[in-house]
Amino acid sequence: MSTKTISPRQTAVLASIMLFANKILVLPSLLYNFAKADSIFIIILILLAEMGVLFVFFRLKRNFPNMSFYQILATKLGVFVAKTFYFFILTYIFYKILLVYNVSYMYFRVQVYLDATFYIFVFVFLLVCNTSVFRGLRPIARCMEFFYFFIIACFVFCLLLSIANFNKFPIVFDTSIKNIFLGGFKHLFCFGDFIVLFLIMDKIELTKKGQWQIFRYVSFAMVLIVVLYIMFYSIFNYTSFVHKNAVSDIITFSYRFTDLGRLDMVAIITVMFLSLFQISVGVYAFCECFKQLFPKLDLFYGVITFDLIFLSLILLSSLDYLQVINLGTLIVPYFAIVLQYVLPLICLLFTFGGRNEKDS
Amino acid sequence: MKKILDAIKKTPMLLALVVIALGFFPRAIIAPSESATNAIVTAVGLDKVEDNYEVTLLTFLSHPNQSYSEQYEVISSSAPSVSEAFTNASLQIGKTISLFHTHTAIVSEDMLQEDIVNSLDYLARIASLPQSCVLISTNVTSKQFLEFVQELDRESDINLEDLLFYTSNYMFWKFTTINSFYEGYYSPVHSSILGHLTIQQGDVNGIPITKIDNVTGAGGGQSGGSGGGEESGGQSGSSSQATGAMEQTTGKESSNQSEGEPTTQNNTKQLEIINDGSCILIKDGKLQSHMSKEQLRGLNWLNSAISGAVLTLENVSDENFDNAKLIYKVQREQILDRIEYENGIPVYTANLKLYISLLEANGAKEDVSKTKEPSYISDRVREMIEKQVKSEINSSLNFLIENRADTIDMYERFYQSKRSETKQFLKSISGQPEDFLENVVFKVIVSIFPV
Amino acid sequence: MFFNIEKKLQDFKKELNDSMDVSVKVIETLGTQKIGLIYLKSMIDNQLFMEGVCKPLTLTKQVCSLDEFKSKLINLADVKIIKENEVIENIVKGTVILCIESEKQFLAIDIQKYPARLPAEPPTSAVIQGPREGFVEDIKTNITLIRRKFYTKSLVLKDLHVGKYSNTHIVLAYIKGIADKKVVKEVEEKLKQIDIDGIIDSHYIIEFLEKRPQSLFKQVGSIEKPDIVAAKMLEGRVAIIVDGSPIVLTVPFLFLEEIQSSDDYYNSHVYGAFIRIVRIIGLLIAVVLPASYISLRIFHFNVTPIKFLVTITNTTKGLPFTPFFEMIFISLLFQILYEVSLRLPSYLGLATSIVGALILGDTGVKAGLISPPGVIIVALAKIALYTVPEQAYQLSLLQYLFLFVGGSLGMLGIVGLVVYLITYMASIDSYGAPYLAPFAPRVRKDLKDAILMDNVRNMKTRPQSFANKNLTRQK
Repeated sequence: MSTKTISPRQTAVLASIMLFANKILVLPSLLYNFAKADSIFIIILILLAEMGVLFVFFRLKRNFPNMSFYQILATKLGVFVAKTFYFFILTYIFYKILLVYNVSYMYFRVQVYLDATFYIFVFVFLLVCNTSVFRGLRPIARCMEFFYFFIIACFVFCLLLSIANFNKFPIVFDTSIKNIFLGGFKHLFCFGDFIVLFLIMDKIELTKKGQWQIFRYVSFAMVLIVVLYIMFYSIFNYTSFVHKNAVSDIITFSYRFTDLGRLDMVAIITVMFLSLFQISVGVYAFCECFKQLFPKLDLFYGVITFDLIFLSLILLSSLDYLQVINLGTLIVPYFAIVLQYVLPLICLLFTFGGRNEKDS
Repeated sequence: MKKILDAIKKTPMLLALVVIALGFFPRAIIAPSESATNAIVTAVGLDKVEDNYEVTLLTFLSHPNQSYSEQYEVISSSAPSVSEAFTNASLQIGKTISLFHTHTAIVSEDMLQEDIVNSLDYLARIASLPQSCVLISTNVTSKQFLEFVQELDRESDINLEDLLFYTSNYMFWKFTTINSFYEGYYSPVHSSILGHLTIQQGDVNGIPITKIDNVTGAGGGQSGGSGGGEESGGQSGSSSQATGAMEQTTGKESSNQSEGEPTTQNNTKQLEIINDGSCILIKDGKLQSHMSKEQLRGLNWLNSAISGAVLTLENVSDENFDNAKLIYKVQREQILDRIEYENGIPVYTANLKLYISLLEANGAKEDVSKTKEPSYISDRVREMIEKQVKSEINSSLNFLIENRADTIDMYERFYQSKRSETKQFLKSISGQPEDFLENVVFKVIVSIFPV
Repeated sequence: MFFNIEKKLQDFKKELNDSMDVSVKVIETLGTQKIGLIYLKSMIDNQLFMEGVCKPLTLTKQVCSLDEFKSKLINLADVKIIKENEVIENIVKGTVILCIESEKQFLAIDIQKYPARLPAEPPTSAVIQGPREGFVEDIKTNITLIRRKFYTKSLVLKDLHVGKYSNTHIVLAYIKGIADKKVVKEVEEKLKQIDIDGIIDSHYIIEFLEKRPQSLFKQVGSIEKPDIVAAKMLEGRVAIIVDGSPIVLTVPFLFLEEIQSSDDYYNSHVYGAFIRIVRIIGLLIAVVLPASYISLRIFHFNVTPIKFLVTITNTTKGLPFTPFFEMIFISLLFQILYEVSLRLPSYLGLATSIVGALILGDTGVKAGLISPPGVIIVALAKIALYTVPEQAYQLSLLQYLFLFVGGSLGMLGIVGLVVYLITYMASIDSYGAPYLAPFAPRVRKDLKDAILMDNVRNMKTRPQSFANKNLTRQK
């Protein structure tokens, strides 16, 4: 393994942690407004689609083991098209980072901090993601690998605690298929996390055994997310639309069974770790895109560009998470469809016709 | 410039530390503990007094000591809206009020005459009242109730939270929390149950407080918040609260003394809190009806999670007893239910298996040892228990039907398991989900087993 | 005759700046042969000198060559013939130099003797069961202690001298066939590149061996016990023994080694696993607990459980200090007490304990200057630092850093700092070994000896977290 690549296990951990992005806090309540408890099917369907994208990634990696995603696009579609795609991916990833930040900020602001100013959040997030990006992908991946077991254990602990509040399954098949698809479409921006894998594909060492490992880890993460949604809709049912902090709210009631009081500190710590990792990886992916668009500028300029745009948006506009989500439901789904599903399908077409190792 | 950028690239952590040191550290050094600037509120009450809303808070007061004692104070404030009353309460105690640690919310019956969803929504969204907070109602004002609770806590080990937690095991179905209230409100049947605690004079039936000052007397008169017009621009509550929170520790005594009231002996009332499992029926966020403990008991027969019911059989005459009074306890209950449609009519069949044991028997014919067996169940006893259980269930169901309140989730259960038939049936009766319960045929089979 | 003995000896003495411990002797044998001796009287075994060197020389009747002196007359182990340019170097090491007029070369007789400690149990590595030998300042003794662990020809000891003035003797020890040659070569090169005036202790060379000397995290192991060094050499590490220091260095070094202790291997593996978990908890308590407490008080009132909140509020009411200042104050108090207890004479130790514990702790609380929860938290954290005694200083600094960040930024700041530190540690490698291995990257086989220790019988392979040649330990 070269010094700049990450192992299959680290890739698996990265993919599964990215999967939790934007899905465990506000999304369950947003989806409920469209499809009620049938939102479970939205999640299942889209996650299955994500799994398909993962397989496309495996196939692409097998056919182009030493090429980056940009190189593949440039070779097959031309430099201009590749750069156009990369520009849209850059914008899309920036939006996703903004969304993770805003949703996490809202959560921390309401649940965790009482009087703190928002400079604290901006500072911590920017500090961690900037320094992580400078260290490189490998240290970020190793750090995630280090905490993976802890994060999953905390998440599972939250789910187990919520069992204390579980009393009946939610009522499903209560809305139409149209609502399910509409709800899924409108919130596509909360998915598509595997786009990051494509952007860092030249930094991933992948073997057949490694593919199986990634598949296992991702499947497990998907199962956990689906279980979260089932628990959430079972516990809250008609009041699901009120609870904007899914992973935290499902354990709020369980404190009656212990003498310790509130146990949502577990959920808070989990969300903190997850959002820091997701933003770090997002910013790294952003810098990778930036590097391809402006090859003469190094990583440092990518990070600075991100910081400047991010800070100007946060400081100069009063964007809150609801506005970001509204923007997401109005305009972003169309980008999401193209970048998350159409682009991988196009890549799938590249892989037909045997291995193309020599293409460069 | 490049040198500075290179230095930043090389040691970003140092730069971060400098930023923290300059930007955040000064605040950290001088920042007081948040518990010094935020009030710890363990219970909140909502009342409607004439046209004003009164918010009452049971606030923890810190007392420098190295023990685990807790002292509470009741603070109340009224204003034309809940949010204003809340703000005024903050001003009174000089601390920010947030309800993160509130475990109980009390609503008076007067307040429940109107839809309380908006008020609760304000408390949940803005004041961070947790949705797991227990919501109960009371016959007196919330303020009186909380003052009573404060005395109760001071004089005994009985704590409101523990009391309600214990009661929930006997309460219908689940904790009556804010979330369960909302669930009922937003469900198709728009109804739910709230726990109810009664305060009345006496010391026989409930938990008494032997020494309590005049709750509605002159000393606390201003604290009753009825002077809304005078108080709207200024402080409300008892006069002793004007100079801040600490004085309220002894405010009650001092206000009585300062007003030149006669000694407490003349104005002492014996009050008691009745916690017998009675509750109220809420429909569309408003009080619909009171539900007695017997009516609740009837419903609880259909809930296997509830146990510990006591069955009293009067005038039992069988081979071993003659006009005896037998008292049984239900140790465990199993319900096997079936939901189906027979000729288009919804039928709910519940096979109740009660595992009971004899607690007391008065009026035995002969050998006591034989008849005092906990597993003693004769045919007559079975018959009587079956009759009693069915009668109680019937009575409770009638109550629910009268009030068009399906708090036993019957509609939901039918909808979940037999969706198309239920939709069809509802269409055929041209009714709302609230009317569904009326048309359900209940078949209850009671089987009695010894433990 | 090649030179005049007296003059030659005087020249040597002048070269040694006429130091007062330089002794010059000219002996005449019975065969009237003049023999010159020069030595440092502070560095030799005087009795052995008189009995083993002077006596045989004075009694001999023959005229001997240096070879004859070496093989017949001077019946001592370490005697060798050296050239003139090596004389001074040997004198300063404590060797007696013998010269005769008829030969250009000189005889070096090693009869060093200087005050040295006996091997004893090091205070920071005490065990209940297991060897209690510890390294000392004398390199020869240290080498002997290591030799006794490996009765094999595969043990290689390479020596170097580093330090312009100290000329410190350094020995590289490794097992041939296990240690990676690249690592050995790299270490050797790094040591040869050191251009310094003197090496007083092994810690002087640590920073030359580390890739990131400014880092708070050490990248070179430092060990005081030969059994631990031997175990590490068997895993493929290279040991560096420095004359004058009881600390032996080992590379590569992994963060995991902080959590391991020799005690774990001398007890049941189940107990070893349990105690490692306790160490990790201790580490977390030491570093994160005060910061968490302070962040809960300053920022997170709402997530603090009510029972804790009531106790803390009651006990901190009316204190003159803000929470952050109170924690810093108590931390510094403990730090001062610790420093004082290190340097005070032992007969004053009891008085210090009384002053520290009773007067500062108890009276401070009663006077309302500090709160009991604050004292408990800081005391617990300071004690927990010593679950990993070799890292106590670094952990202490981290403790203050976390306190600083926790008080300024709250829980998010603490988590952010943890992520930053782990990312930083993940970017460090020690001679090719990832610092956080076997956790990140995960090396499954090495997890048997990570936290949940397995039986020694199941540890069939050497660690794969770093390079070593022969992976099989047992069949």
